[in-house]
Amino acid sequence: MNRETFDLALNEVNQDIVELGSKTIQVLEKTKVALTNLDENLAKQIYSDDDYIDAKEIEISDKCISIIIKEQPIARDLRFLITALKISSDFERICDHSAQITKLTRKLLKHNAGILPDSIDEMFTITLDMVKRIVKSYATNDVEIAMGVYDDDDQLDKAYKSMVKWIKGKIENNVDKLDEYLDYLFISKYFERIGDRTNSIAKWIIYKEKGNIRHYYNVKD
Amino acid sequence: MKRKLFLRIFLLTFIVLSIFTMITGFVSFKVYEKQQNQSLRSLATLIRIDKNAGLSNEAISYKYSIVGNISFINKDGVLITSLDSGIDKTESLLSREEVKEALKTGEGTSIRLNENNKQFYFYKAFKIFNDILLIAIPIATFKEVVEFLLTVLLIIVILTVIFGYILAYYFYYTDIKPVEILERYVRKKFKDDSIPEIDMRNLPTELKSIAKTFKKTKYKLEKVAKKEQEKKMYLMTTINSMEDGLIVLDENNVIKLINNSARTILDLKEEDDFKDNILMITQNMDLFTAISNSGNQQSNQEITIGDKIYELSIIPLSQDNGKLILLNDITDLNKIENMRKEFVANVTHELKTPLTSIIGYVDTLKDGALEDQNKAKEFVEIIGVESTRLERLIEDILALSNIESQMEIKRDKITLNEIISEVINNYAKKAGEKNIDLKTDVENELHIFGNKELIKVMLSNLISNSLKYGKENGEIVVKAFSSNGKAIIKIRDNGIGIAQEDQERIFERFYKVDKSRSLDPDSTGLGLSIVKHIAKSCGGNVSLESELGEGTTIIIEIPLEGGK
Repeated sequence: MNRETFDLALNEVNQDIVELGSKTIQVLEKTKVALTNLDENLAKQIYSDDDYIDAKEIEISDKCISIIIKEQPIARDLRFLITALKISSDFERICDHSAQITKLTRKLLKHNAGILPDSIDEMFTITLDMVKRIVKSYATNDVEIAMGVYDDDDQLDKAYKSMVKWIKGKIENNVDKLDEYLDYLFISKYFERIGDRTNSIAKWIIYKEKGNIRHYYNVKD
Repeated sequence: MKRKLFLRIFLLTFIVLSIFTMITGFVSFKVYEKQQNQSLRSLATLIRIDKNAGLSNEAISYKYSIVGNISFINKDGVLITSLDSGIDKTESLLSREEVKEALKTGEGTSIRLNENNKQFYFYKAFKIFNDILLIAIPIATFKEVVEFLLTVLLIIVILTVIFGYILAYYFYYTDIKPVEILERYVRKKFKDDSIPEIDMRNLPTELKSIAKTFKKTKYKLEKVAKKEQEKKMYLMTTINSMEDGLIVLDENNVIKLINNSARTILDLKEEDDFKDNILMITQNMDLFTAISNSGNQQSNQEITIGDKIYELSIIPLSQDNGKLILLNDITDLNKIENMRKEFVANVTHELKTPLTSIIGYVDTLKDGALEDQNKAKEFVEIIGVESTRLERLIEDILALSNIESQMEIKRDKITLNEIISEVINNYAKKAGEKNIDLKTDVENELHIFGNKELIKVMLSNLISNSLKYGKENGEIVVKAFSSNGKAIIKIRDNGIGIAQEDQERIFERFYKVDKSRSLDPDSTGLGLSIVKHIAKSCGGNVSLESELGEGTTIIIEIPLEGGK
């Protein structure tokens, strides 16, 4: 493989990652619409999208491993491939969480006349925005955006904490609705997990661009 | 360029000088040889005479030894006499070239290197009677010849270098430099716009005409470029002033052309360069999927980007399998369409409910209930109530559409406290029935500009609502005051209140908080909608503060007449 074909192979992986990221955004958006409109078809689509993303993640990993074995890349190319490996698995997990949120929310909405608490909606908005920005950051190699996303995770954590507090209060007053509130708790936990995954992607993007492993532990250094 | 030229000239000069030297050397050698031959021939004649006179070989040798080495050999090649001690006496002299030649023609010549003393000799052999005369004249030592050749070579090289250099420079400055200048000039012409004019005086004649042609071509090109630029500007201005987003993609879905609207829609910066495909740039999977799936057919579909809905048209282009993409914002259109659908559905539903009831009772009456006096009376009463409801509903819808279409609204100066007390008086009896305390706290001299009848309708709607949903023994307070150039009317009750999630939608047409209350013949679901539209028709607006179980306050703000 000469440099040109090698670059083509790297570019292919790059495009695959952006496709994976864009697909993740699409899944999150679909999840939102499916939940607000109680759209059963869309919910089913989300499950099949999740399968597609699982397959895509494996495809990307295979490509990366094959390039690493055959070409033994160094420096920037190696960082790029390692980042691709890590990020693709993060995106895949985000989609899994998204599918789980869909499952739980559908169950909830059936009992609850289709009204979700505002705080869930807020978490959704923050998460979607973070994921959108991180994909943009990856596609445009913009470390500034990645750092911004990294900082925004605090906001999501705050929303999660206040949600837990709210759920605690509700459970104390309505023990008979315990199942329902536990579901809320799981949903917000999944959002919090998506936030963490996005955070991890941000770290890896910074690693890819700056090449400093220290950034993995503390971006602000 | 210069070095190449120099090398060429160097090589050429070297060859020419070498050939010249060789020819000169050869010719002068030939001349020398001829002279030697002649002088030696005359010497041979002298020797012949001497020999004829009976002088011995030895004596002859001594006599002429100043000329060179002189030897005699007999026909068999045996040395008779020689002054040259270096001659190998055992050697058969017959094998010598000049001897062989002399035996044949009477005279022989040869130039050879003598191995014994490393000297070049000019050998001459003459046949004199039965003997052969050998004369050897030394020319130069071998070392001398080599030194001479080396000197000549060195001189040639030095001359070549000097000449080559001078010639190279001469040619460079006369023939190549002007071409270079011209080339630089032309290259610059195509690069930027401000180029100094070329100085034609420095150019040789044949280049002048080329320079002129260049100049002409330049003006022509500039004209064409300007025209193209204008065309492009015109095109770009046109597509940039389009409200729709326009994108042209090539076969790899890389953006070739994009207008400002599309940039805004897709949130792309001006300086973004587009090397990658549209997915890499927008990270919008919906858009990418739509484009990838469109194939060679024109397709239209709806797509959500951000919080807006667009009609996405993908038109295949014949040129390099590209695609033209149009994004038309249909968010408002969609909203209006949805509202219209909802409104029609609501109207139909609301009108049908009383009608179904009326038709049902009429059918029952027809089927014999008319005979039963009591039943008949009861049914007719119900039919009456439902008809009234239907009438109210139609009146409300008409009123609403009148206000909405802003038709025939006469606006006068109105004094608020007069109207408020008038409306309050109308409801005093009803309030008394529910034992509700109807209080007013109205500033005097509040003048607004509006339609008196409509304002009355607005206030009546609000107070009747408050009475309807107010608790028994409760109170209703109507406050009116001016603030920041606006008249503010607050109507507060301590009734059942409105839930948070309903508050936003309460002013929509046909929206009812409690669906079961739709059976209430007095409620059309249009009351608050009418209030909102009347307030708007006077340039004001309506808001509310409410808590479930605590009561509701409706706040109306209308600009004061004359902005007082």
